[in-house]
Amino acid sequence: MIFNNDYELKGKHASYIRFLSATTNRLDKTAKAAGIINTAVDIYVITPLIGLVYNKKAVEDNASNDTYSILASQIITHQANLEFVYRLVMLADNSTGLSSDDKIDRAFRQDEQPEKLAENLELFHKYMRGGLEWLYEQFTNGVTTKEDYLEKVHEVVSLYKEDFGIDD
Amino acid sequence: MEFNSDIKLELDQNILKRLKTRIYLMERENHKTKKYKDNEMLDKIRKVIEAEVDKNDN
Amino acid sequence: MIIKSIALCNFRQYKGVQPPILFSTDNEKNVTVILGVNTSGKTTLIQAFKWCLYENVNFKTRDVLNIEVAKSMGLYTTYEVYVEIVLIHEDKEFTIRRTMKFTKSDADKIKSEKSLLKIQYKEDNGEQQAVPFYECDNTINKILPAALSDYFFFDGERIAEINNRGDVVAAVRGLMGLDVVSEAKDRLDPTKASSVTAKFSKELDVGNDQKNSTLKNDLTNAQTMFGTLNTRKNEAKNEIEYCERRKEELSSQILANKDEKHNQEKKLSLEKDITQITKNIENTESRIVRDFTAGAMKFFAIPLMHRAMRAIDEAKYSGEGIPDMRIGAIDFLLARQKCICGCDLKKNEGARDNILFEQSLLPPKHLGTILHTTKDTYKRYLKESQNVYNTVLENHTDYRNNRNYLGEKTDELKNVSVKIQGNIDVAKIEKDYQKNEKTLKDKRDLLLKISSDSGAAEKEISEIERNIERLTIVSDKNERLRKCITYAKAVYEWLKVGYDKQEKEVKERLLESVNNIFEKMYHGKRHVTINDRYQIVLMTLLDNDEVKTDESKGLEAVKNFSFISGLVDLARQKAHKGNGVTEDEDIPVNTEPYPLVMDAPFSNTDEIHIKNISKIIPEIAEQVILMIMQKDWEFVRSALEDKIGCSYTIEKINNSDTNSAIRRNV
Repeated sequence: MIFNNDYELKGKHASYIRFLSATTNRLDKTAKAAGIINTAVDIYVITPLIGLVYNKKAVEDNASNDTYSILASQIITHQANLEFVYRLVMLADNSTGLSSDDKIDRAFRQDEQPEKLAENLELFHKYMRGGLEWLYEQFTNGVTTKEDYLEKVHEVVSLYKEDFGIDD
Repeated sequence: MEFNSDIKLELDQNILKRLKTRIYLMERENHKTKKYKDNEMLDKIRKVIEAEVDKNDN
Repeated sequence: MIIKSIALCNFRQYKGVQPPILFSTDNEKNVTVILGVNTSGKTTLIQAFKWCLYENVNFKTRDVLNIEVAKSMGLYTTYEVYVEIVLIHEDKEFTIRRTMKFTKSDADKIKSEKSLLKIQYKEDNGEQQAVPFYECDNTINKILPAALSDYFFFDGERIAEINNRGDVVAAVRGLMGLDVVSEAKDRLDPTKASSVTAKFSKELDVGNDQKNSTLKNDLTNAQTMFGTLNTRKNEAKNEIEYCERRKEELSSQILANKDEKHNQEKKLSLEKDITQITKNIENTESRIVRDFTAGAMKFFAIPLMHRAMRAIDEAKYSGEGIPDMRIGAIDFLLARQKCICGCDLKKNEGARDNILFEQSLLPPKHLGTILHTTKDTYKRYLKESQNVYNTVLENHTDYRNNRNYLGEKTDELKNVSVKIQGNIDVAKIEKDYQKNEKTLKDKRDLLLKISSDSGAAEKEISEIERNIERLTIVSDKNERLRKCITYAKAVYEWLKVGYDKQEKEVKERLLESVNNIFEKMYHGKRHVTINDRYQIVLMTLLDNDEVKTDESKGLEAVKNFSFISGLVDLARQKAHKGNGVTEDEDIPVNTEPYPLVMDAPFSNTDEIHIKNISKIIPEIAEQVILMIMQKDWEFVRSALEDKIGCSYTIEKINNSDTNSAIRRNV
């Protein structure tokens, strides 16, 4: 059980996740938010993937005081996905020069090794933040209206598809 | 125009005067001579009046 | 009237032809005296006058003929009696002769024929003109009315009767010349059925007059009605025109409204669509987020999963787990703290580590299994992720389309909205249209009716006009008659007024005259008055109350004298006023002076009266003929001396009562 606590994003990442979450719109219809993904936790789930794929890592941002907490309850309901993504990231990440065996180890056998786990999680979250930044960029680049945001979804998906040769 | 027996027609004073004179003189003359009988006198008077009326009607 | 002469033949005691008695006609000496003793024939003279003029005498017919002549008549012989009077009346000389023939038809009988009255008058050219026999009596009445004859042929002995004799009104009127006026008046009196005026009135066709009047009213009414109908016709036409215009208006409104209706419907439809599309869009938006969210992880994981699978495939992981060994079994060993080999696991940490390690190789912890599972998962996810893009695309397309659709519809709506006028009540317009249609029909029907009525009115007017024309002929006659009537009435009024005035004047002046004379004649304080019937009534001034008193004969005589004198005086005054119709409106009442023929006027009067009377009479009468008795002559002569124009004496021949002659005195 890797993921079973609140997770707090800080600084701009907090802003970014708030921006991208549909919850924000649900809570406040007037909020200027793209709201293209249902909840923050859903974003939390996919952003590490995006960060790894685009090789984007980001550290915690302290520039602003903004925070955003993803509640444990939310995390726990998405636990399976989070673990999936975690292990996948651990398996797919090449940035630390690990062998495949090591990657497998990292991915599956270090859950109960606190130090290793922390390190892994650190990497996981760096990618998460990076992915978040990438996503945020996509959804603020020349898009301003609700329609724009929604249409951007397709564009992002198409772009991703193209970038990574994903077949139909 | 109303058709009333008691209509007041405009009388020509000249005619009236003539009638007065003639009728009176006729009577006076006849009174002396008794030339004409009563009904003849009536006739004569009537004719005199009618003549004056007709003469001046048009 | 002046008496020129009287000639007798065989009249009573005047045997044979008597030379005419020529009476004085002189202005100054206007008295003729005839003297005679009693029974000599004075009275007879008066009677002669009366007989000649009126054939009334108070003696028997047979006594007209002189007795001696009668006696000496041979059988079958005829003698005539005549009295001829020549007088001047209204400037004409009349000869009046009454003749009566007597024939002895039998030894004792003398038959008399009816007397014949012949009157002639001398024309201006000197020719004698006979008055027709049926006019003779009238002529005489004009000359001197019978009713007044007793005053002018004054019989002194019969004085008392005078005042009581009938109604002298007509006679006085005749005397004063009022009778001409009276007759003329009567001939024009509208109240007298025989008058000219009444005859005119009778001929008036009043019935037709009224018909004409009614027709004229009807005509006016019909014309008014016609006028009204015309006005109403025009009104109706105007109203119809208005309705027709309104019909057009409403029609085009309805037509325009069709579009409006259509547009309004379209708008509603579009609005509905837009609502729907908007809803769709909302749904799509939700779906986009939802589906993206749902598929994002698997989708984004795709390249990584490939990478991971490669990594897994590349990895040579050591250590297969003990086959068929199960984690539970090792858990059991650990729990018992003794290995299968009998090694104490509690004490031997390394041994425990190893067992743990072995355990870790076992499913489900077995890595291979995990990897296998993981790879399966990846494969499965990869498969599942295939749809993600399509879904996103689908959603996207949907979204796009709907948004375009929405845009289209919104534009359409805008266009339609512009065309829509606003609040138009279609139902009301259609109702108005129907109402107007009905009004139009009603007005058209009304117009037809009015036109029909108008035509009828026109016909009626023509009809009435024709009737009026027909009656006009009658009413023209009526008009003429009316004019005649009006003139006749006017002349009548003039005559009446004049007559009444004259009569009043006559009465007043007569009274004045009579009283004047009376006062002169009478030596007492007396007064007379004349009533409506011209009868003299003696009054006494007794403490301002006029009371009728008993009259003595003498007084009676004076009274009557006065009356006669008054009349005569009045006549004389009037006569001198002139004849002929004067310029002023007063009726010229023709009168002429009258003679006084008096027989024994003084027989009942006293000396003083005689004198007085004698003095006055010549003043008032144009001509006086006095028959007096010798014995009275003495009293009279002095009073009358210079007035006497001529005188005669009646002599008895041989003192016979039956043979008298009149001898002129020189």
